[in-house]
Amino acid sequence: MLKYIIRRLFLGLFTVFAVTTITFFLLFLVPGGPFLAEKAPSEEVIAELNARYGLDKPRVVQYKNYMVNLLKGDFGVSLKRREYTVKEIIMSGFVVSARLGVLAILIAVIFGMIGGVLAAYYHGKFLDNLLVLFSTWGVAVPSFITTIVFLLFFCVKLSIFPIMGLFSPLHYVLPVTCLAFYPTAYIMRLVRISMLDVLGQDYIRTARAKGLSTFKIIFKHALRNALLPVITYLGPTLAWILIGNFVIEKVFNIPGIGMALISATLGRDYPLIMGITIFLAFIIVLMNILVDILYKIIDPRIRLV
Amino acid sequence: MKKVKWLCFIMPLCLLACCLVGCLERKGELKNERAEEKTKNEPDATVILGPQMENMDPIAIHIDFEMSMLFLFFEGLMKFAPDGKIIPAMAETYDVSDDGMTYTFHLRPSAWSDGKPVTAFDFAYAWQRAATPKEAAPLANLLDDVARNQDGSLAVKAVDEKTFEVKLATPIPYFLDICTSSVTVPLREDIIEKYGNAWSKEGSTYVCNGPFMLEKRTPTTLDALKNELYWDKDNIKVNWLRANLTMDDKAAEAAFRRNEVLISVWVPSESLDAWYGTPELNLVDLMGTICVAFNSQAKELQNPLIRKAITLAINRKELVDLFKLSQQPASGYIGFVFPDVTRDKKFREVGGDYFNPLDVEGNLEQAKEALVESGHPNGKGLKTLDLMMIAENSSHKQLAEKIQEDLTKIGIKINMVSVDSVTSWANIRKGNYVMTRWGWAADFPHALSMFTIFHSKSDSNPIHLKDLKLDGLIERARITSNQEECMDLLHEIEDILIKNYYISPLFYGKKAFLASTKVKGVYATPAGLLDVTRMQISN
Repeated sequence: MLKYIIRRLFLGLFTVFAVTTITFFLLFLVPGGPFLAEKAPSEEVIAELNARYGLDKPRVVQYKNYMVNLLKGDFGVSLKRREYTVKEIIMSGFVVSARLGVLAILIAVIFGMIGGVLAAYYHGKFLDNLLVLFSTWGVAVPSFITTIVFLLFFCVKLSIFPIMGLFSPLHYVLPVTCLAFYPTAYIMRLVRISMLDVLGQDYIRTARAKGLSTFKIIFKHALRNALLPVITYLGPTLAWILIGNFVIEKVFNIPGIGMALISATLGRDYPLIMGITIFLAFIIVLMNILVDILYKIIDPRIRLV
Repeated sequence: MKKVKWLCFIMPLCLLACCLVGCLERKGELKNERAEEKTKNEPDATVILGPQMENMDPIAIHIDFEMSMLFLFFEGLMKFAPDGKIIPAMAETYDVSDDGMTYTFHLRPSAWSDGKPVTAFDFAYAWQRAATPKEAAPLANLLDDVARNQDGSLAVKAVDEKTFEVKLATPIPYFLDICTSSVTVPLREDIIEKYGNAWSKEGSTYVCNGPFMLEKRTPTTLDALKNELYWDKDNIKVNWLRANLTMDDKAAEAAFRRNEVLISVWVPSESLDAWYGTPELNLVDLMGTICVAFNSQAKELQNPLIRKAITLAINRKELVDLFKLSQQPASGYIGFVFPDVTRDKKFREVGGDYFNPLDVEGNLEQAKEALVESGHPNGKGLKTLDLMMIAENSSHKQLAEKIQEDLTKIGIKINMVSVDSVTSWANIRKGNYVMTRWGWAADFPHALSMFTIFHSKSDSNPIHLKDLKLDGLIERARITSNQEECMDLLHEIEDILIKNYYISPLFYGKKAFLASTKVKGVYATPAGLLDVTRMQISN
């Protein structure tokens, strides 16, 4: 087991390194530069700025400098928001995005599992149809549409929730709901399908015959075996959700990491794009490793190679 | 199996704990800050003045939205009054020498937000800093007309604590306009020396001289508290102003509709119709023109008759209907807001119309004739032409589609090239386009500010024309001290640009913003910057 984990960690590090290198060189293919604007400064000013940030050097030299600094833990400074270092921007954004993300994942897991179990238990009945309808909608409709519909309905029409920022608990309701919407629907579908599969198996009939209560059968015997696909799904989802959702952050004006990544990309803020990409890669790799380890724990039949 | 249960419990618990700790820690942080100042925890007014502030350092700023937020915190020598006139701000009075080359400003008694008096030395330091090439200030070119000392520094000096003197290289008539811009606000040398680039990062070190001081800054909000040491503090009625920084126009409009914000600079173009005629919608003439610019190096557009046909075939009347914003279809490059020799006469009135944008049928006939004359009747034998536009802005797409529709009528096919804004600016610099939607806004209300971009040495020249005569005219207009001569030259330059169809002006820009009817005292300057500092809220 330990050997396996160490090996996975090394592979993960290599993945992050590869992502770093590829992104670094891809960035040079993107037209434009960080100092262009509608009323761009003169060529001399741009040259001055390029020299200040070392962007005038050959690409390979820039790459070497970047990697050396990276090994020292230095992500550099933002070219656009020059008062801040990349690390500061990532951390301040991640705190916000992760707070929303954790809340959203908790909601998605709780409601998704309950919904999935209920749908499977009442298979073919009205409640099942209703939940299937909901989960199909949730999976099929993209988040930017759901978000705008929610915003118009709950904020403008009914005027229940505020729109901008995260100043009070009430401000959290809509962004978290929108963020949790897709994973809830997806988990519900996963749990429903695998529960249907599990509930039809022999050992469940045995448990029933033994006279166990329905509650015990479902939560003690059936659900655990139905959880495997949920865990697989949860790993990458958790990573993506922690890292922030640009649409939701933009609409609700939340200073998360998704917003930082998009403005960095549109503004060609190279060090910030690199920093966030590395951070994102790191979290995704880490989550995938965690999921694989969790697999082994939940289902001892799985062999880790 | 025991282990499994443990882990299943512990992992979610850890997550929950992380989340709770995060929330709690955050709350404590907020409480400490708020405890110091106000008893209430809601701002008096929340407004949307623009997108994220990338920098708060006055010399790093160059976007109009950022400027209007900067002027919450800083004030220069002069400022714009609600009627568009320039009035003294930090300067109480000023003298101009007879030759118009020396300006002497007498500062009014006023203090920085930390209590120290504002002196002429702060101005001298700030101006020199802005002009230092190492600082790479994007608007440093505004100081180009100030004379230079032998060592390359600006010929500005603090005669004494309260007297600031500027010597000009040319007696430009718009120097007072330049004194309203963001590169000319005073700065504190001791603060910037002490904290370096990070001085403008947080409220505690952001020492300012304007109506407000920075309380708290996040990527999406600026909290500004009234500066009790500001000289005109009696006219500042809002104690706590919050600026929400967003670029989502739909969300901004929704927040405005439910009174969450009192002012929004964002109005989605598709809902302009709904706002039109309501007291909330404010339209301001901008000192700018939206055009189609033709790349003079493009093979496809070498024949001026083709450019003429394109220019005349565009139905400006319908374009204007499409964008409620811009009711003034263009009949020349310079819009109606620009004065001619004196401020009572308009540049456009003197220059006259190059074509009648309302005579749609007549223009279309002329366009067809021009095509026949060029040897391509009904567009025969013409290649499809690329029209570049910016993808992030939905109104650019509407505009391009309308142009495509109009040009189909005379048989010219258009291919829309949609790129992100930075790519489009890079393409314009490199000359990597055939035609592009192009807009230009002046820095100060003088037509010269609209023309210098066409000099062949200009970095963002939208037509890439290398014409010695045009360059000569622009250079002469720049240095002449005679306003009549300057205007004559500018009219001549406009003649060259429009009569040769190098650019096709479409309409004169307007800016829309939404302001609640509860709000009084909010206005836009001629450059389109919103001034909310004198805002009053009635119930």
